[in-house]
Amino acid sequence: MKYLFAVTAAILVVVSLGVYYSYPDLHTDRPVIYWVTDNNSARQEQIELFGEWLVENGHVTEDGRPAIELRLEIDPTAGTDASQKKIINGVSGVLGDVIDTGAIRYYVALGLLTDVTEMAQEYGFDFSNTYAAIQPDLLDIQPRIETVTDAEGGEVEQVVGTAERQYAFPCNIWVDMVWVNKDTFARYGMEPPPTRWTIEEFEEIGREFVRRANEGKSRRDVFFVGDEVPLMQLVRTMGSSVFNETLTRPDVNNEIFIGALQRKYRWMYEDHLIPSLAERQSFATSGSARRGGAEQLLVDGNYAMLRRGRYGIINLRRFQDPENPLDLAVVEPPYQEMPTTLTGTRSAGIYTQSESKQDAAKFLAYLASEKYNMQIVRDGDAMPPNPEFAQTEEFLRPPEHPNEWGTHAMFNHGLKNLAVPFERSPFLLHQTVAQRMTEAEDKVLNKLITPEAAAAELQRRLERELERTLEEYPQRRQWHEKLLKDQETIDRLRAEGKKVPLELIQNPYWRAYYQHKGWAE
Amino acid sequence: MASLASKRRNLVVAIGFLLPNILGVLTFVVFPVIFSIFMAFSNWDLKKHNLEVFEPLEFVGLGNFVRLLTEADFLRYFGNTLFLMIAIPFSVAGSLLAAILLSKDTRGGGGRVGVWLLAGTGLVVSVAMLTVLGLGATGMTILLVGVACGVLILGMVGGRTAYRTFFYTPHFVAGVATFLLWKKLYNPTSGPINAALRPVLNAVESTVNALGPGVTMVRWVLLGLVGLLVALALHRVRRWWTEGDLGSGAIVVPVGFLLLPAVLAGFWSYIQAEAIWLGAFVAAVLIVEAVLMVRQKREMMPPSAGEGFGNALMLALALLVLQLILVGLAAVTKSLPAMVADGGLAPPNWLASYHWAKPALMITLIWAAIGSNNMLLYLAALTNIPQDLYEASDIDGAGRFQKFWHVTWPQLAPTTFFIAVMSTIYGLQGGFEMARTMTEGGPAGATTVLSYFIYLEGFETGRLSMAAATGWALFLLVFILTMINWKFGNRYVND
Repeated sequence: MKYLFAVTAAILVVVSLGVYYSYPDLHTDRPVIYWVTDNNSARQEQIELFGEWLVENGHVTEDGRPAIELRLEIDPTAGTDASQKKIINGVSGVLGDVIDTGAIRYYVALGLLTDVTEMAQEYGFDFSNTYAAIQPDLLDIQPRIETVTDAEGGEVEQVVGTAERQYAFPCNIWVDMVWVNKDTFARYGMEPPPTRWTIEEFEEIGREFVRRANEGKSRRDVFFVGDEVPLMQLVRTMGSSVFNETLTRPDVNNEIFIGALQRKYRWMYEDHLIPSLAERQSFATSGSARRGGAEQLLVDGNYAMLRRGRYGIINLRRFQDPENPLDLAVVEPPYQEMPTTLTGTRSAGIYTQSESKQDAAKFLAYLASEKYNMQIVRDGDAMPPNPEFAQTEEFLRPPEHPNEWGTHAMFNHGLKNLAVPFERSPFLLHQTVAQRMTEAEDKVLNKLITPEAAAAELQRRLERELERTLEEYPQRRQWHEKLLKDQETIDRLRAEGKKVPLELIQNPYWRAYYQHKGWAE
Repeated sequence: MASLASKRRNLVVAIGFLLPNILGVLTFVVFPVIFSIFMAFSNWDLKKHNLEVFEPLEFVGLGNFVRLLTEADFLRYFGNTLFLMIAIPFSVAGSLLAAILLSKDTRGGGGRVGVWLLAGTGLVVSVAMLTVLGLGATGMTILLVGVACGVLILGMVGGRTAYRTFFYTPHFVAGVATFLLWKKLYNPTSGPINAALRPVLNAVESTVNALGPGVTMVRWVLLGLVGLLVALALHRVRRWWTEGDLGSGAIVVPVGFLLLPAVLAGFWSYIQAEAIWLGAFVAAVLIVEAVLMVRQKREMMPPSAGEGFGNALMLALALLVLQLILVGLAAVTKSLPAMVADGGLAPPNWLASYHWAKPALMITLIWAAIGSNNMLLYLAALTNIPQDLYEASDIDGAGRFQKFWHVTWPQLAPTTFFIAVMSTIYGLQGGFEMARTMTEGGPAGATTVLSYFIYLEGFETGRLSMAAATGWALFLLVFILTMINWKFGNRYVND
C-alpha cells in the first residue's frame, strides 16, 4: 500500500510541476498584467485594441510588439459594489493588476485600490478626460487634518477640510434614460411621450395606454414602462435625497420619501404602469433583464418604454427584425421638482499589491484614448468615458442603424445635464444603505407595513448604522461634527432665505438641486 | 530490536504520508477555527485591518456577542432560520416514507409492465393530441404526469434499485444548479407548479361558489380534529405514565409540543376567534388528564425521570406536524369565500411574495432532504431489523400499522434520533446557497438565514469580527443541541 501512496505522491508532484510550467507567464518575454473584469465578448477586442494602442504610442518591445501582454481574469460580479471574489483575492494579496469596480469607496477602504491621482496626470487619464457627473464615483474623500494652535496655545489636530483623491477611471458610463418603442404607441393609436415630461403627464398618458393596450384581456401583458423604476430616482425627482446636504444624517422619514413609496406602489399595483416583480418574472423570456429579457419585451411590445442606459441598444439591435427595424426614441425620465436621472460607471483601478503599477496605468490611459472610446461607441456598451467621443458622427448617427439617429445624443444630454451620481455618505456603507432601502421598499410592496412606517423604520435603522460607524471609527467623529456645523449653517441660511455656498454641500444631489433652484451661491 | 526498528520505520513512513493531510487540516481547518475565536472577541474589520492599513486590533470582550443579541436583524434572521427548520420533521418523515417504499420490491411481472407501457403510450399520444388541438398551456402539467408515469414504469422494470438511484439523484446534483431549477419551477406564470395549481384552484373556486358561505363551517371540523388529536395523545401519554413506560421528567417537552399548535393559533389573526374555543377545549382536556394522573397510581415501579422521552417526543412531533396542517387548513377554509370574492384564487407568487418565499424555500428543502443521506440511513436501518420480530408480530395477529408502530418504529429509533439531531444541526447552518441563489435573502429579508447573514457581515460590510461572532453563536446553539442529544438520545436509543 505504501508503494501505491508513494507512486501517487510522485504523480501528483509531476503533475503539479507540469501545471506550474504550463503557466502562460513563464512563456512570455513581456510583462503580463491581468485585468479582472466580467465575462463580456467585447473584452477580447478591447485587449487587441490595447495592443494596437501600445504600438501606436511607442510602448513596444525591441522587435516592435506591444510592450505589455494583457490577460483576462474573469469575475462575473465585476463592477458591483462588493464582489466576493475581488474581496477575498484582494485581501489575500492575489488579485489581478487592473480591477473593474462599481463604487470604489468600499474597495479603497479595504486597501485594494491604488491612489492614481498623480499617475492620472502623468498618463493623461485625469478628470478632464471624463464627464463631470461621474467624478464623485472615482474619488475617495478623506478628512484633511492639520495641527493648529488652540485658544490656550496648545497644539491640536483639527479637521480643516477634505482631500479628494482619484482611484479609478471609467470603462463605460451608464445613465438612465427611457427608450421608447414608437411602434407600440402607434399600435394603440397614441402619440409617443414628449422628450421632457412631468410625473403627472407620465401617469395620465400611462393610464390611458395600459387601458387601451390591455382592454378585454384576461391577463395584463402590456405595461407602460418596463423593468424596475428605482425608488431613489423617484425620491430625487420629487425633490429629496436619502441624506442631508452634508451627508451626516439619513433623511428618509419625510413626506417626499413616503410619497415616493406610495407612488411606486400605486404605479405597480393600482395603475399597473410598471410590472411587479412577479409580473416581470412571469414573462417567459429566455433570461434576466441583463441578458436581454426586458429589451426583448420592448421589441415585442409588452413594454412601451424601457428604463435603460445606452447599453440597451446592444440587445435591441439583436432582437429587432433587421428588415423592419424599430422606430426608436429616447426621452428623459419624468420629473416633478427637478429633471434628473441616475448614473454610474464600471470603472477600472489598479490593485495596491500589483507589481506592474506603471503598466496598469498605461491601461487606464488607454481607457481615455480614442481607440478604446470608439470601440465603446461602435459596440453600444453604455457611454464612452471620454465625452469628446460622444460628439462624433459615428456616435450620433451610426451609419448601419439609421433608426437610432437621435437616440444616442439623448444619453450625452442626460449625462451632461441631468445625471447626478449616487449620494454616498462617508459615514455609512453604500451597500448597507441600498440593502436597507430595498427591504423597506419590499415591505411596502408586500403590504407588510405602511409607507409611513417603512420610512420611519428605515430612518431608525440608518441612524443606528451611522452611530455604529462613528463608534467603530472614533477618528471620524471630529469630521462628522465639523460637517454637522456646516449643516447648521446651511439650515440657518435656508431659513433666512439666503443663498448657500456650494462648497458647504457634500451631497451631489443637493448640490445639483440647489443650483437648479438658484439657492446656491 | 529489529522489530522495534521496523515499527519505527513504518511509523515514520506512515507519518510521512499522513503529514500533507495533517498539515492541510491544521492550516485550513484547525488554524482558521482557532483564529476565528480570537476574531470573535476582537474588532477585526477588513476596512481597518487589511494589507494597506492595519490599525491596532482591540479586544472587545463579549461586545460582538452583546451587539448580536441586541441587534434586531440577528434575532430576525435567527427567526427565519428556525422557521425554515419547520421543514425538518416533514423531511424526516419523507425520508422514512421513501425508505420504506424503496425497501419493497417494485418489480412487476411482464403483463403488468406491458399494461403500464400501454397506458404510458396512450398518455403520451393524448398529450400530443391535446397540444396539437391548442391546449399547449397545460402541456407542462401533462408532461409532469407523463414523467410520473415514466417513473412508475421505470420502477416496475428496474425494480427498487431503479427507484433508489432515482430518489438519490438530487443528492449528486450541485445545490446551486438544483436551486436555479427550482427558481424556474416557481415562476408564477410559466412555472409548472403554478400551471398545475391553476386548474385545481379553479375547481376549488367553483366548489366554493357552489357551496356558498357554508363552506367556512369546515374550519370547525378541522379544529375539532386538532382537539381530538390532542385529547388522544394526552390520553396515550397518561397511559404510558401509568404503565411505567414514561418518566415524570419526560412528560413536559412532548406535552409542550402537543399544545403548541393550539397556542400558536391563538396568535394567528386569521383564526384567533376560533382558537379561543380550541384553546379552552385543550386546556380542559389537559386539566382532566392531569387530575387523573394525580389520582391514579402507577401500576408499576416508577421509572427514571427521563424514561420513554424519545417515544413521547416522536409522537408529539408527528402530531405537531399534523396539527399545524389542520390549523392551516382551517384558516384557509375560513378565508376561502372572501378570497374567491376578492378576484378569485390565484396561485402564489412564490419567491416574490414575503409570505410565500419561506414556504417555497421549505418545499425545496424538503425535496432535497427526502432523497438525501437520511433516506440511505433509514434504508440501512430497515434492513437491520430482525425478521423474527415481524414473524412474532404476525403470530400475534398484528396488522400493517401495528407492525410499523410496535416493531419498525422502535427499531428505527436510534436512526431517527440521529437523523433528527443531524438535520437540526444542518438546518441551523444551512440555507445559504438557497438564499443567495433563489431570493438574495429577500423579499424584505424574509429568507435571510444566519449563514447568509454571516456572509453579508463578512463581505458586504467587512466586519469579520461580527461574522466570526455570529458563527460562534451558531456553534453554541449547535453544541447545546448536541448536548441534548447526548443527554436524551442515548437513553432513548437504549429504551
